[in-house]
Amino acid sequence: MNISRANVSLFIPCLVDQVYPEIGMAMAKVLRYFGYNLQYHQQQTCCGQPAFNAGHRKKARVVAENFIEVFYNDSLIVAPSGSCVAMVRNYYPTLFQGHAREEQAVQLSKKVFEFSEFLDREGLIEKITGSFPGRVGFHNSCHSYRELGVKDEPFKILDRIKGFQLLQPKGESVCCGFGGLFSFKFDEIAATMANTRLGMFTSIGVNTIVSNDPGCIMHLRQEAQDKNIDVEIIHLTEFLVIAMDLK
Amino acid sequence: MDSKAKILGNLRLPITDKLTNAISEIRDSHIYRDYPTADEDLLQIFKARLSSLHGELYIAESTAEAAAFIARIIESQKNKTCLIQNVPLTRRICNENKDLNKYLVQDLSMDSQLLAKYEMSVTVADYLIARTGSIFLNSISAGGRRLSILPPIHMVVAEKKQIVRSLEDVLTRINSQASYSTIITGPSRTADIEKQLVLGAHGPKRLIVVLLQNT
Amino acid sequence: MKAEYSQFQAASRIKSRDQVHLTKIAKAIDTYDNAVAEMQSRQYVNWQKACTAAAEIKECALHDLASLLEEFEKNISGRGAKVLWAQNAHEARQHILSIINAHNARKVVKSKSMTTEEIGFNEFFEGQGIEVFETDLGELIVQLAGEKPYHIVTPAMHKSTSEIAQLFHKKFGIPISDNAEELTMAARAYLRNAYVTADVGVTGANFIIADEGAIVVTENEGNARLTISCPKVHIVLVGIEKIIPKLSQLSLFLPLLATIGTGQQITCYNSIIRGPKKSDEMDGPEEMYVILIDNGRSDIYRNSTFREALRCIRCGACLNTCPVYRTIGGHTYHTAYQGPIGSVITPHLCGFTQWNHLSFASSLCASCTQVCPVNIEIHRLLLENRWEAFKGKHIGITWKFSLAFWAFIASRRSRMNLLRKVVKPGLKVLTKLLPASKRKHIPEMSSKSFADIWSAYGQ
Repeated sequence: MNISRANVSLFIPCLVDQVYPEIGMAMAKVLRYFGYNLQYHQQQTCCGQPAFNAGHRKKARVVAENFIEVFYNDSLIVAPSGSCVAMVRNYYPTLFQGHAREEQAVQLSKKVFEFSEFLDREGLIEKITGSFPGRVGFHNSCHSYRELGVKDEPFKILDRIKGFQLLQPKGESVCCGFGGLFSFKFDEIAATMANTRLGMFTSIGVNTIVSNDPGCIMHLRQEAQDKNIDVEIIHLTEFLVIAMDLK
Repeated sequence: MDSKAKILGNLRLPITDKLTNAISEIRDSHIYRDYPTADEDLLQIFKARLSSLHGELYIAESTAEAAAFIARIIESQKNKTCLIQNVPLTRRICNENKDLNKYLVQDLSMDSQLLAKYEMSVTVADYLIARTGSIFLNSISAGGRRLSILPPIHMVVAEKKQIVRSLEDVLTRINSQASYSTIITGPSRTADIEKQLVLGAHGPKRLIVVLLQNT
Repeated sequence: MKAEYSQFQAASRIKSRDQVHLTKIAKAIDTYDNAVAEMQSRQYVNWQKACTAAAEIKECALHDLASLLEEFEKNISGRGAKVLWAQNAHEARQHILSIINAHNARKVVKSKSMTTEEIGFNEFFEGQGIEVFETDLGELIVQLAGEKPYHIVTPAMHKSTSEIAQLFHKKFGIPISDNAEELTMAARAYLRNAYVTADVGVTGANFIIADEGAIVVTENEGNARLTISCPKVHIVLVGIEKIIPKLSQLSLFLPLLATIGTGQQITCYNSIIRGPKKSDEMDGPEEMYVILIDNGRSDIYRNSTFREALRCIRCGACLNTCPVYRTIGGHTYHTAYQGPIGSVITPHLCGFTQWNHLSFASSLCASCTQVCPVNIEIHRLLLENRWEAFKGKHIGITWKFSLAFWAFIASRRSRMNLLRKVVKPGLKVLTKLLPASKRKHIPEMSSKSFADIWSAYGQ
């Protein structure tokens, strides 16, 4: 199904690259399905968020400079992660304020997109069809939700898929407790937060949690495994690959 | 350099940040969904709000009716003690029932321990606010600060013409001569014990508004 | 490791495992959430627009803070109130002590005031032999229990009815009851005597108004009104940042604070006080003192990055929404100001060295920013605090080195690839060395990286 021949540059977060490459592959499959020419810059490493969030802006800039060097020629950059996109879009201008690469950073910040918001702005959601079984709940990552304003897009995507029952906890989206190095430094608090979040889904009968951030997925999976909580946790891209039966 | 000079010195900065927006006048009618519109009955709105807060409203068609009502409430108290603020409106009502005259008090400067023994007080108010079901009074018009907060029953005698729409109407008409003004919205309450609502935490447990309709 | 940090870690571990506490706090906040959501939609045409208006007014106030404070002082002094300035907690305590001594006061009633918490009022004055009566029911409960407030708006949120019943039985001798009304009436009776016999009443202020020269106290119980009406002396302790320019702006702020603070349309009593009793008034304090306290606020003010934190109207919404607060509760912070806003301002007010860890104890979910009624970007300020901590060399050498090393690796693909060969097996070893609670946070690296897979497929 060829919609477009535009070039999309894949922004593969370090967590996906090193731990969950299948999420990156799933995103590639979906984008290819829609006819995009995919580019993957082998030199990419990380957006620098871990150091930035830890407060070490100097070192964050060192890593971010590699990111800018790798990506600055691209016009469309897509990542399966709201937190990474938020770093570039919302914080690169701050990080590079007064520095040599400030202009590049500002330009780049306008060209990165989270996966579900990308599908939405390209008008692709209405072209999605498929089916998926079970009782599904969506965990919207805090960065997608509050830093990027991605609220409805994932639900519009889920809405296109038949078969499953959507069960959503009422109220606002609540943090899973990952927060990058926060979950390492304050591990007990983070674990309880994950447990609380999982409970919001399992208590209403969800058996598959879909999320749009690899960090959330990792953190929730760890807690589920640790406490023997019976729930599948997958990425939105993986959900679509299954639902749309993509190879 | 004294503390004031030091503190103010610290605060005197040439702040160059531009203000995002010049503050336009805020109007309650623009902000509040429940702002009473021109064709709404302010008395009904006031009544509904006051009742939802467990306040009581008694509408009296005449001063005689008001007097009878007040007498009944006093009668129902254990010790039948009451302090009625001595002002023209309350005097008119007490005139209808001579028994009430003994409760009129001119001098409300008595010791707090004495004042605290009274079961009930009757004061007037400056305004009634429809949108929030509130009563607005001050330390000059309502017989001081304590009269409306110490006794467990606070009764307010007011006239229909005193009802205004919203809080902004009261703030523009405030009597700046008084040292103390207060906006009372329902009887005293707390939810500090496991969020369970309890009335009469420290202030009055009962707030009764006697509204004279035809004056 | 600093004492405050290890205390925080220890306390937060305990609280994170305490299912009873977690259930209690969840229930209390759930009730709050429902009440607030209902009131926001019922009372407001557009809640966000109301917040923006409030934020703009607070920005204007901060813009002219020095001159507004002078205007306030002039206006309220003109009505007989005495305005005193305190650079820090010590000066504030000394001012209050002088007033208390000048009046030979032995008994003080006070309404709920976070600034009095900030200066350690109760400990200091009880140490001076003064009887201090907390009159807010929640504050009374924690005072009797020998605890600190758990939350800035609902100080006894963590106490169950039966715990309170036990406490009141012990302190007042009343029979144990599970009836909230009976317990409240017991507190009411106990405090009535205090109000009518106290020498001095101490309150904070929710707002101070420049043009009217007045302070504003908002409450539900009536304890503040009684504190302001009965004793002969009224002392107000208020932060310099609480100022708003005009009295008319209360028509926005009073319902706003009530809506987001407790889910009410407006609180039960909102009192506007312009001075001590006038000669033609029946009663009221003969003297009124307003102590304007700085205690680090002007330092925050002078830093344009952080100045917006001074917009805070102490509504407690950021505490209620914070998933970290909901997990660890208020006491874990060991500070007067807890939760997200507390984590922003405490390092500035009380020292970065001892308190910067609070700004790190956050997943940066930004829920605080989302709910703040004066649009403070709280989570961004936490990030800024983290950078301040680095700049000020408050971060331990291990972290600094680890991050520097990570940055070195992560800035070049070749280094990352090389390290991967080393790290994968290394990580397995390292993981075994860590304690169990931390072990699970070390992810298992995949057999092939995405880069490997991509190049293998020749795409």
